[in-house]
Amino acid sequence: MTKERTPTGTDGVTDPLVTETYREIATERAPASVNEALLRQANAQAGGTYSRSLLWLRPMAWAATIGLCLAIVVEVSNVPQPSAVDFEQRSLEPESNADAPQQLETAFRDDKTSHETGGQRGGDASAKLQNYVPASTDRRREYQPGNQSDGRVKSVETGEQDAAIPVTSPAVPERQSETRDIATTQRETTVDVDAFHVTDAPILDEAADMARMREGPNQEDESSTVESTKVESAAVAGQAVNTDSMSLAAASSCDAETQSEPESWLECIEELVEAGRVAEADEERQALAEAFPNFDIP
Amino acid sequence: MGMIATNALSSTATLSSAPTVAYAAAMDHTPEDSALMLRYRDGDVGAFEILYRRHNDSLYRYLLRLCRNRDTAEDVFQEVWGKIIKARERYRPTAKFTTFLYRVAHNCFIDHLRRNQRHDRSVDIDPDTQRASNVDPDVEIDRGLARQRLESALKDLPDEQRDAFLLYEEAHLSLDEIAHVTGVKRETAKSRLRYAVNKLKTAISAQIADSLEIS
Repeated sequence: MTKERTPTGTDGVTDPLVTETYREIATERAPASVNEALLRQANAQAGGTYSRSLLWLRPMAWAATIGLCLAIVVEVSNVPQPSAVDFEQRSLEPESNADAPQQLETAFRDDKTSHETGGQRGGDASAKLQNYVPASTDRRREYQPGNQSDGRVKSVETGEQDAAIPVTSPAVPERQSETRDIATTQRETTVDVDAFHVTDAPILDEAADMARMREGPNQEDESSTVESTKVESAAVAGQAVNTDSMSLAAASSCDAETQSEPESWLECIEELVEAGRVAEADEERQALAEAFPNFDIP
Repeated sequence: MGMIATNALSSTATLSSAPTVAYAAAMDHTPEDSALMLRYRDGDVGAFEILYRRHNDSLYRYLLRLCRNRDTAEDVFQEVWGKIIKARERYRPTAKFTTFLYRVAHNCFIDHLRRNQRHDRSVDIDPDTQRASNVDPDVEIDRGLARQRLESALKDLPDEQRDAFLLYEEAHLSLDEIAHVTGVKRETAKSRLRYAVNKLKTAISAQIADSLEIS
């Protein structure tokens, strides 16, 4: 240190000669190695202080990491794992959906073909379209309607063929309102019959299979009997529908428009007489008398 | 002196703690040193380096002549700065930094004396202190002799008087500050300093008188 002397505060105790002489001998300097060591220590201590002030960050970081890992584990464990069955269903769904337009196209094609062949299967195709549900396409695809169902549908839908069928049990004509109700429910009956075939034909097949299994595989005769039973049961259902359709045909010997006026109704009766359907003509005449009591029937 | 030195030196011996509080109000401050210490307390290592470069040599000379042994002086020197570094968090600029520094150094020297009972009396002074110059060889010889006499007289001074003289010469402390650092009353410090200066002046004057008689 080569600073100027500051004799203030010493009350004149100091001496300039002594001070000057001492300045001449006081030239030692601190060793460089000691300086470096101390500055290094100061730097390390300052860094240590900084580290100590941030010591709380380390446990906080660990706690945050552990908490995050636990949250992820809990979240992953709560996610429902897809089972093998779900996976198969998921893999099959696109296929069934892909088949849906194809089935629709097939149904329309069948409908078109039925129109070309006389409209016999038109109702069947339209009923299929009305009842089409994509989820049950597989079951619907398995069912192939037989000739009996076609015949039954035809007997209901086409009135001109019913005229050729002999009436075994002619229905008693009821009121006009009931007749109209029956006429309006014809289409519904058609749909129901088709639905019956669609929904119950597999059941019949299953019943036949059950009966076949119960009787044993070797009894072919009995199994054929079961087959015939199945056919008969289907035929009975068809006959029920045919009976209804014949009664409707009898009731419609003179249609509603004809029966609205007594003159036209009378002409219809005369046509029935001319056609040889005397019994029907008599019943129509009786109905005419009841419907129009004031009308003079010749 | 405020809480700083008291806290930093609580483990070290003091000659007397009586004038500590009374002295603190009378001391002037060195804002630069205090500001540097505060910056270092906040983590600025560069501030400490400036502070260290400003005081390291004078402190080293103070300890070197106080201990009269180079190795001992270096050990105490490192101990002093180590305490300053550790005490930075408790540092408050209520007093002059130089006073704080030399109080720590004085107490470390006292601790060293107590640990070793009797300190090494061997003198190990750097020969570079006998530096050459371009002045007249006769004058240079006279100054050289005067330095040797001063050095010799300084070694022969009692520890308390030498301590007071070195604090005045190296740390540029006033009587009040010397009294505070050494832990004595102001008059005691003044007496010690006066005796030391007179002895040294006598030694130098005797050498000058001898040279005049020779010439």
